[in-house]
Amino acid sequence: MTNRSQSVYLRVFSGATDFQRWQSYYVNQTITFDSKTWNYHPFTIDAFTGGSTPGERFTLQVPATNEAVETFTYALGLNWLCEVKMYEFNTLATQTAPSASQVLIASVFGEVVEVRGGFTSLSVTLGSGLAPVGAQAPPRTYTTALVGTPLRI
Amino acid sequence: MSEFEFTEPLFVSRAQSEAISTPLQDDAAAGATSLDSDQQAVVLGEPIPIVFCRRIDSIGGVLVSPKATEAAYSNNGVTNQLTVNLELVLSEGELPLVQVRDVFQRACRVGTWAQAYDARAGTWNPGNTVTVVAGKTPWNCPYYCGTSGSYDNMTTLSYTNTHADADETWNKQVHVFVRNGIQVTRIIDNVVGSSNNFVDLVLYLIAQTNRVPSTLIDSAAMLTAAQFTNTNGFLFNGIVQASTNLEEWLYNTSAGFLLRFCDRAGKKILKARLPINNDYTIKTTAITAEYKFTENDILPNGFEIDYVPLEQRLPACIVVLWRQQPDDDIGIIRTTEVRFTGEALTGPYEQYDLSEYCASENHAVKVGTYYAARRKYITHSLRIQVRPGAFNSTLELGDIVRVQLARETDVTDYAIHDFYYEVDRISKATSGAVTLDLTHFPIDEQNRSLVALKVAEAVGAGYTMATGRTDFSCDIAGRRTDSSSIANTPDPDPPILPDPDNFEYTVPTPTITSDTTPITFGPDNATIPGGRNAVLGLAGASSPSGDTTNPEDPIEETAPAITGATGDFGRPLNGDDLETAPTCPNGQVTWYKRPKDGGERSQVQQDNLVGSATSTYTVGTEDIDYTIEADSRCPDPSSPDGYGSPVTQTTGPVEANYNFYNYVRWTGTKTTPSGATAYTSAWLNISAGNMAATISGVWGCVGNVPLAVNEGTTCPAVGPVNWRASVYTTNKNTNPTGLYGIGDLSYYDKFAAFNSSPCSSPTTGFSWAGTVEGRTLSVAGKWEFSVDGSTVAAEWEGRTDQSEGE
Repeated sequence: MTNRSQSVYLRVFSGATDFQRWQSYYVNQTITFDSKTWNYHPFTIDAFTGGSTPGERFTLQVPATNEAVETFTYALGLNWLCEVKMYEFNTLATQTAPSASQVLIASVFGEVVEVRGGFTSLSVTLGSGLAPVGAQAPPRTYTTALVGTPLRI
Repeated sequence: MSEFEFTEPLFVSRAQSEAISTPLQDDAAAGATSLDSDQQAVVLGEPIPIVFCRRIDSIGGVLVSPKATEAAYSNNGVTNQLTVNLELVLSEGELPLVQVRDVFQRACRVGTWAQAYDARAGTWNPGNTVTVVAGKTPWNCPYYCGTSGSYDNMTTLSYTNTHADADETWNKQVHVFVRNGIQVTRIIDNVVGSSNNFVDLVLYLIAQTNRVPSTLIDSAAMLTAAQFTNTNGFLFNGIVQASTNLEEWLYNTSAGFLLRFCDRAGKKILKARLPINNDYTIKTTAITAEYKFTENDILPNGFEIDYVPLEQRLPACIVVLWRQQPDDDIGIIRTTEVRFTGEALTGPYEQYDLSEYCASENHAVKVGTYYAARRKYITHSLRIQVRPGAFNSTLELGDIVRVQLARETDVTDYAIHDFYYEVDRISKATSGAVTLDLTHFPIDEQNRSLVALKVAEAVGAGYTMATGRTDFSCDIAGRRTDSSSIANTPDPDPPILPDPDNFEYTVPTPTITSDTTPITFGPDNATIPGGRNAVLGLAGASSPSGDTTNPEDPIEETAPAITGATGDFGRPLNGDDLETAPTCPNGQVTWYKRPKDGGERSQVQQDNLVGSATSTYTVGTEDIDYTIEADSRCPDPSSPDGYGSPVTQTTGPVEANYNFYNYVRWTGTKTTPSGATAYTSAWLNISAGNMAATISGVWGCVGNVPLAVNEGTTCPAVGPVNWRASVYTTNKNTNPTGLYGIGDLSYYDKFAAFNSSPCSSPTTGFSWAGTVEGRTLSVAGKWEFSVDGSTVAAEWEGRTDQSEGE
């Protein structure tokens, strides 16, 4: 008999610097995992979806606490990255936090590309800055500095 | 809706997997070049082309028709011979020197050429000095000849040629066959040089956009894709010049290399559309499924199947356009028809244009075969929803799985749905349910991929088509075989360029705050880079200082004031005449009273006023301990009762007018450690006026002092709080020591208030020893007023807190 549970971890970072680490499973606990501390924050996520088409985006919802608003406002402006990982484990096997037997079953990684919501909750979208619309290639165009006033035929 | 319901139509899955993809329109080969057209000039704002190619083993290269940015025209005053100089932009980035045999005007190898990188090529200056020569044909050359620029990170060409009097070809387009395009860091050998690998181009374009950090690129997957295209001869030899959305371009173009551009765990990847071996060749041996899904895995209603419709399964002839590029001549566009034996001999036809980048017949044939085989063999797509299992941590996009389900519609009618599928999409919900979008993966009886088999064995006829050109006499003699490079001649004395500051404006960084304290953040107290000013700029700058006064809303009606209250703190007393008037003539005022501690209100009076009259309500003793509310309404002919929405004004709680009475007494309940007992004090004479009474708070009886705070029990305000009638204390802990008192009655001239001690000879109060955690003791009651000292004329629950002590 098993009791299959899934815990989710969220990390906001840039380079080697972690600006935020949250977990949403162990209520009101700060746990140590992967040699780092993870604070409890009751965020929720949509399904982890990977597809054959580009532009899959991942959305998570967080209470609009000051900490969350600052985290994702800065993340949006400073191009911080966000990583969300979901682990699976058997709660009947152990009650330690985190479970020693947990297995990574899904992860997503991206820039914070959209933040929206109400005054009490935020919806945060992870993706890349590669916009699905708009001209982006070739990346450079002729300018006055590059070619001056060009020949007119 | 159940969380297991599907929310997306299944046909989306079929479209995403591209089980069958059909071109929406046919058009002329995009890679074709018009040779005898007029020379084109650059227009500001148009994209700078990227020439990306590498000619290896007589395959590759691309014909470029560069646009001109500058020109110089002059003629001989006697012969009228015209000298034309053109400055041309060949490509963004640095290209190796092109060969003499590869530069043309029209289809002819003529002129004098020079090349430069990051600079202007040639040594001439732009301008038009053409004069009219008597007896000769006047030249009609452009007068706006360009001003030159920095040519930053561009490869430029200088072209010079002369034309005899009346030569009509002087203004024709020049062309360059580029064998080796811009130099990038090749992912396979990590060498900087020209490349024909599509993955190198993808990485270059993504990097140039500055929109995707390198950490979001899956380098390992990209290297595998690069090896796949390199091993199988799927090479890019073309120009990126039409402005387009990069993501869309990558998605569409990658199909021409049998790659798929998608995301995996948030990272950008290119992934082979066919199974591959460890040496990156197409896998034509047996395929092993990563996991088998059976009835034990499928959740209720978790099976949806979508068969490819008839129009997308009809046998079709796939027409592929590509470029045949001879070594010593301008290339030509070719078509190759791909069809299964005996099928679609007269169509229908589906055209796939690879001519922009494909210079190999085998490449074209394999792509054509891929589309034909998918069309022929793939019959359906599937979406299943399954319970989590061992596959949860191992199954990835592109893996092959087996779905084996028994279909039992009758005791004797028994069939098995048993197919291989390619995983196109995985969705893992936190509920645990996993949704898989699967595309039929057709195999033969040896479990080999049918599509992969057909693509792997596909090979072009190898026939070299004649270009149709036999006369090369317009070439300068010897040029056709001259493989030497043209001169590398950056202009040693380029025209003086204006300061670049004339063409840009740099917004100064604003100072939002003078506070330079670093901002630290998160569990590690990480310091946010960029400084406080930069961070505040990102977070919406600074909050406004000062207050903001909104204008009065001319529509919004404000409640008129209630006047006439004469008590302390502006509260009404019994006997007061309260008045209010609507802000409009002929209004209505309805008076209500509501218990001062909340609850339902009840109507006490209603006045329909005439003109600008005032409504008056006289407060009675029955209103003591209530608040009074006045609803004012203005006439509204659209309302059923003739009045509009009310605006409400509320008074403070009505108090007893103690100046009306000569006597007061306290009556209530004392709750002591021994229990609750009723108590009524003697009448106290307050006829002198300005008198008040109170019930004291908690006292410490060892020192006989009133207590503001105590570790053993809660303490109400010490006061004295005039007309306080009830006090409570709750023990915080259990402690047998300590001696306390609470709630004794005192009365006095209110300008000389005092608390009577409950520690000795209390009346309403009492004292007790020790505390018991959670126990509440109280002296709670009300004031009764009388004129004659015997008949109760009014009752008042009194005031409750320090702020109400007058």
